[in-house]
Amino acid sequence: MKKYILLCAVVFLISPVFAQKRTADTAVPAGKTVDSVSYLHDLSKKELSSTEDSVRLFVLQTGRSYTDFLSGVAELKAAGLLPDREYSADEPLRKGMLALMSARYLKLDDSVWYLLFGTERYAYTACVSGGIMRGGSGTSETVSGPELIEVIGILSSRMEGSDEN
Amino acid sequence: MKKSVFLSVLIILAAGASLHAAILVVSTKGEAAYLSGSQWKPLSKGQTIPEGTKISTGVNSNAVLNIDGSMVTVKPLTSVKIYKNSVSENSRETSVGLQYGAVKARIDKTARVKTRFNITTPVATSSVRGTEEIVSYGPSRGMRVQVLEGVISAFNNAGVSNSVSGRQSFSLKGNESRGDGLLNDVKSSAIIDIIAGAVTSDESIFEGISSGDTIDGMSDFDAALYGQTGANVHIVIDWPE
Repeated sequence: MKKYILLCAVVFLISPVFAQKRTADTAVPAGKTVDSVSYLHDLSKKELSSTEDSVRLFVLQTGRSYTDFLSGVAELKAAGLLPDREYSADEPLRKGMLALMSARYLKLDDSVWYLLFGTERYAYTACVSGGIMRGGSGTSETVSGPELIEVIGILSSRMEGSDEN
Repeated sequence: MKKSVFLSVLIILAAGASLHAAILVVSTKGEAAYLSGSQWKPLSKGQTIPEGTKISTGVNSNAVLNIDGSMVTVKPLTSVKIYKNSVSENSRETSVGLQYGAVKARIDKTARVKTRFNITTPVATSSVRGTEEIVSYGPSRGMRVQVLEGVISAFNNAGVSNSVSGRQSFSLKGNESRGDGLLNDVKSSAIIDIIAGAVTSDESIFEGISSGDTIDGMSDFDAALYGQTGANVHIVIDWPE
């Protein structure tokens, strides 16, 4: 009887092994990184995103590799996504700046005022009317990490043509 | 003899109790990773991952998963957790928690197998009853469900019916009311299950397994779950026939 009880206990303990195949965790293969995934996960918990966060994500979104803030700013200026002025990495990201970068990235052309003046204010209204950003706030309002992720995700979908307003 | 029968029954019960469908990684692009302990590791094509795994994608990246025949594309900048995945002879049930980003689900429908596929976000649950949809969630737009196939008749809050087609979408933000009684006539055949009242069991589970690991607007999330809402929601939805 004791042998049978012991056998039953062994069967119950090892049954999950047969129920589902598990693959062993693998080491990171050569050439494969998960840096941006880990970074995004941390960003999703931040109440305030920074200028550097937006520079990093826009550099990656344009298909380039992100090395450092100054190089990223230079690349985005060359790509026409950032106005030619000085930027501080730790400065909180504002909705106006995010809107301007987004409008330039998508080359929004359905807002007359934005086309005429190209300012953060009109870029923001263009992004709101285009369903890229939420309205009801001003261009000086800060952007949270999740909001920044959401906007970049929308830009990505728009570029691949799978997002509709 | 009795002991042999007893032992056989025990073995069968033990094996059947833990039957889960396989989650297979069909393809990856760019940076697609799963959480192993506290470390992110890259997903690989052909890899099988267990229930409860959190999967995230980076910029310009995606992962396509085969969940017992249903294809789920984890789009760029997305974090999901497959927290329930079980299969038996005549039923399949899968629940995916969408923390942020978007997923496209193409559900494999087999006539003799009852299939239940839920995508849960912090504000609502989409119960996929059709074939294909895109579900996204973010703090600004809330939950959006885009139905990719089908034509239906829908009724708005004023009771006016309309036939709609093409790719339409349904949006629900955290501070908006759930449609109690909305679209009752088509709810039974709907691709979207609009849950009236407060928290559904899936959302309660999602909140529990998230362990506070939800995104910005947790206070809005709590308010949406437990607060009083009263906004009207105007929806135009495609339902499959």
